[in-house]
Amino acid sequence: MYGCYDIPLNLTEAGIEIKVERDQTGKTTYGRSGILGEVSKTIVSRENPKVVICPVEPVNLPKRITRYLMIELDKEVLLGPKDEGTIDTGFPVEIGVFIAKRDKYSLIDVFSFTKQKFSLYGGVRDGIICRYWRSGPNLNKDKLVEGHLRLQVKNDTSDWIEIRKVVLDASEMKIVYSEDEVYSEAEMKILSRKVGEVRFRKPANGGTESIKLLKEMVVTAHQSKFIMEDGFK
Amino acid sequence: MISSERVFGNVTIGDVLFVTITLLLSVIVAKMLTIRVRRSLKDKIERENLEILNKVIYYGVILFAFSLTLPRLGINPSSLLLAGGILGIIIGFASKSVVGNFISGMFLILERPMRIGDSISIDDVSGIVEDVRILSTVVRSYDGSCVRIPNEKVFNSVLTNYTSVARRFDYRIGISYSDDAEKARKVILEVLEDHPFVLGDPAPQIFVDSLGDSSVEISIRIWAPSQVWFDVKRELLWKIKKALDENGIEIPFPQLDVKLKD
Repeated sequence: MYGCYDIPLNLTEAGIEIKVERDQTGKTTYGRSGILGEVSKTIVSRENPKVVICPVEPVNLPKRITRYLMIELDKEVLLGPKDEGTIDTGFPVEIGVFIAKRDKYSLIDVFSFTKQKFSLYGGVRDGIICRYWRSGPNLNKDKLVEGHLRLQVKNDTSDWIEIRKVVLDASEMKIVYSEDEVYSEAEMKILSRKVGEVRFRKPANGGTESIKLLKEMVVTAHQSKFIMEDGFK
Repeated sequence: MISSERVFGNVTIGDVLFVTITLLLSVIVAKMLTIRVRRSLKDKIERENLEILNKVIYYGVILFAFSLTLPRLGINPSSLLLAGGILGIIIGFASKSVVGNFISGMFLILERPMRIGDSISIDDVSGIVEDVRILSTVVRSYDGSCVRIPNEKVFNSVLTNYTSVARRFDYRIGISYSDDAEKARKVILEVLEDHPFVLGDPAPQIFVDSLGDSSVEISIRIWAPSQVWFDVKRELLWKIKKALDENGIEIPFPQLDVKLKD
C-alpha cells in the first residue's frame, strides 16, 4: 500500500479501497471505502498531483489530542547498573494519504487498522495524555498494523531498573518504511530510578522516509527529548 | 509667546504641552512595544504569562515616561515617596473597594489559582477564564455570556478549578435484582474498553455501590482527557444502556410491591 502513485489510482488492500480520479475539468476526487468507513474529498489543482501513502506519527486518530506516545512492554525489562542494551518493540501504525505537488504535501486522509486507546502518564494535574500501545517482542508482522521500534536503553544509575513503559514525543518521530517493515528508532537514557530522557533518532535501517505530519506542532523552544519524570512502570 | 505663559508656579503652557505629548508618545511606544512582544513571543511563552508581561511593559513604559516629565511640572520625584504615602492613605479610605480589588488582583496574579483558559467555578458563576485583570477577572460562561467578577470577590470566594490533564465523571446505573451484577460489570467494561478516550490508566472503576429499593446500583467511574471529557460523557451513557439491553440486563423502573391482607 505504501508508496507514491500517479493519478488515476485504484488500490484495494486489507479490506479497503482507495480511488483517486481526475476528470477533464481538472477536478480530482479522492475516495476511501471499506472496513474503515467512507471518506470522500475533492481536490482542486491545475497540475496533475501525485498521491503518497505512508505511515505517519501515530497520534492523529480518532482526533489529535496529544503528541505523546506511550508504549507498554508486554514483559518487563530489567536493566543492570551502568548497563545498556536494545529493546525491540512495536508502535501502532497510522497511515496518511497525501496529495503532492512538487515538494509540497497536504494530508487528505489518515486511517488505521489499530485500536486507539489513550492513557495518562503522571498526575492528573500535571501529567500528560498519551496514545497508548501495548507491545511485546513478537511484533505483529502486518506492516499496516504495527511498526518496529528499536529502543536503545542506557542505564546511568548504579541500580537495577525495571522498564515497563516508555513515553516518547511523537512530533520527533522519524519513520522509515520498506517492503518488509515500518521502522523507527529511539534512545533512552535512565538518569535515576524514576527519571529518564527519551528521544527519537534517525533510523539506521534503510528505507523510504515517511512524510512528517507533526512538524507544524514544533515550536522554536521545543525540546527534542522527552523527560520521563514519573517512572518506567 | 503663549508657551511661556505660566499656568501655575513655574509651570508654563509649554511644560504642560511637553508632558501631554510625552505621555501620548509613551502610550504609543508602549502599545507598539507590546504588539511587538506579543508577536515575537506568542509561540514561546504561555498566553497568560505573555499577557502579564505585556501589562508590565505597557504600564512600566508609561510610568517611566511620567516620572521623566515630573521635573517639568515642578515636582521632585523623591518628594513623591512621602506624598505617595499620604496619598495612599487617602486613596485607601476614599476608594476602598478599588484598592481591595487591585490588591486582590495582585495576589491572584502571584498565587495563580487559575490561568487564562482554565475551566472554573466561583460562587454561582462557571465558565472559562478569559482574562485576569488588575481589578477584575473576566469569565466566559458556558452559555457564551461574559461575566466580570471583581477580584476581591474572586479572592474571597471558594474557587473550584476544574482544569487538569484528565477529568473524571461518574454514572450510577441500577440493574434488576434478578440480573447478574458481575455480567453487567463485564458488559460495561467492554463498552469502556472499546472507547478510545476512556483512559486505560487511571483505569475505570465499576462496582456494586448499593442495594436500592428497586435495583442493584452500579457505580461507574471514568477518566477521560479534559479536552474531550464532555463528549465522552455524552456518548457513553447511551452506549452502556444499549449494551445492557443487548445482553438482556434490565434497567428497572422504581417499583413497590404491595401485599394486601384478606
